[in-house]
Amino acid sequence: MSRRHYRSRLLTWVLNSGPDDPVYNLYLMLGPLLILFVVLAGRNSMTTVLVAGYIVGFVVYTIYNVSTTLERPDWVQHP
Amino acid sequence: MRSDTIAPLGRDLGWMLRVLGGLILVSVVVPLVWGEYYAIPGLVISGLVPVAIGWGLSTAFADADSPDKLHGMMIAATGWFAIAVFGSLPFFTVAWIATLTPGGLGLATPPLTESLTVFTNPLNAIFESMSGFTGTGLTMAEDESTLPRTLQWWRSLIQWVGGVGVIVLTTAILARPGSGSLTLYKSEARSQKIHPSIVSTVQTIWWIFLLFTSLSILLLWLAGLPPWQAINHGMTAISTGGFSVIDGSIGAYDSVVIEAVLLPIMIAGGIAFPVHYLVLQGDLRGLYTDLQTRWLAAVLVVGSVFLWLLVSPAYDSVIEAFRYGVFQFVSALTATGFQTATEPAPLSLAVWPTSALLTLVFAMVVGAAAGSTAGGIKLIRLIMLVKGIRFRVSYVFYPDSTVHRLWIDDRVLDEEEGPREFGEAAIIALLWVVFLATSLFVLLMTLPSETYPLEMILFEIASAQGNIGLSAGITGPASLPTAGKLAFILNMWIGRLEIIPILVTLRALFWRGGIYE
Repeated sequence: MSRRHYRSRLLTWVLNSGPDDPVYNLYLMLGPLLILFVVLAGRNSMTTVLVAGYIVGFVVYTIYNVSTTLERPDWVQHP
Repeated sequence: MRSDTIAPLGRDLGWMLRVLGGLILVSVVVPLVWGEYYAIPGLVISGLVPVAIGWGLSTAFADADSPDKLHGMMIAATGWFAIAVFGSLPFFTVAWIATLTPGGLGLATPPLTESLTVFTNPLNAIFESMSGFTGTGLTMAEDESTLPRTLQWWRSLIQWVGGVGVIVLTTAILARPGSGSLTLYKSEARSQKIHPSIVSTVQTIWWIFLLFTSLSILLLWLAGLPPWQAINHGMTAISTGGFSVIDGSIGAYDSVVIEAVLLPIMIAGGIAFPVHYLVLQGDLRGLYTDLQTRWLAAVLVVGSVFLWLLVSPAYDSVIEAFRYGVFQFVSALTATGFQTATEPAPLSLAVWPTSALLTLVFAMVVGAAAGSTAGGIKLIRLIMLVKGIRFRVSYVFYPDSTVHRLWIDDRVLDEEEGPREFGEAAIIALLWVVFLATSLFVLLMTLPSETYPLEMILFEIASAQGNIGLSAGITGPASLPTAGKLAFILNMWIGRLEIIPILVTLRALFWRGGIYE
């Protein structure tokens, strides 16, 4: 299996397995990269702001997502 | 045993072992990064053994039929036991390398601490592995901080994988469509589906789990943990496992911020994945329309307040009692097992009032939501028992011609379905108590007399069987006798699979194995 093929399978999995939301897909892919960056760069003001931004962004987007979906409940695919 | 049983069992067991071997071999990155080169031969051997056996089995039985219900339960039971046995190899081999070659094959070995040398005993290694994979968190290591990073990582990884399930991982990797995957999925104490396809369901579960793991790690780092500790505690918190990489669990930090950050992570681990999926889709109603989540919230609030009141007289201030009471109740109900009531906290669990310990026992027996990473008999069964008992009692107050229906959330169970589901919940609850009592008997027989009070022994067994990990101080390489370790291994194993698959397997082995024929 070529690396190219592997990458496409990984990307396909990320895109197909989640809640079909590009922002959350981005969050899933950025998370491990941010952890790696924090490990390498250590604790400083830049990494602290980045991590805080990641978490606050997740919370804010989830609230935004909920508020917009409440207006269109048909969007939700119930398990 | 019949060949039509052996074939699916052999093939799927083989695949599980191959996945396990892969996890061990991938973990070689850790000793490379941390310079623990002496651990690499141990990991390589530990990984190649299950890979070779698994490859042999999965190749020999490649053409096996799809597993039916019996096969599914036998695969789950034997597979989890095999995974725990082979998953103990990294502990065993690394400990022996460090013990036998103080020079470390020319590579620097770690100081021979007691926490490491206990794993030269295979029983201790299997105990640690079973505790890890089942998400229990009881440990044989006296001081986890002295363990090599390689073993710290292996403990966290097996809890992380075990939280979702070894079969769920194997199913996600194999992506084998059909009823066989569904049968296996159900055998691993899961029933809720997110999508019609079981392969899509397990892949979505992993998607959500990975996202939440990243968030947990970064939250803990932001709360002040060093990266290595944040990674390990993030993995064991979201999987409601409870292993720690420091001595004294979370209590050692003595940090309100870290405890406050861990509370939502543990609760998230105790909520079913389909509910998380709904919330990520923007449907917040999924949180309060789901019966189990409503009950989880109610039990968390009522139980935490109740425990707070019970421990308040023992603490200097009500604020302090609130801090430790709430954390310990959430940790127990979600089956995480992180402990703050331990050194250097003012009071350890061992000196908590009996009523408080019994409240935690209740939480550990019940557990959180089915379909989450938590243990215990699960809230849905408690709900079924409560509603079923009310149904049976109210039954006699109505005329015979009345049509009786049992409401469980949005499901209406008729006179046939209601008693059946109530019966299933009652059987699990009864067996849970039977195995608790059996282990209680074993420990009472083998522990030194008058060393531990009854409530403390009950607490420890409930912790093992509910896959929690809270300890009142009985679990340890020297303090727990061999019979107790064997009993706890059994408790953790049956607790993770909710008993029935193990009983089915034992019956199949005795009956189909021809012992009675």
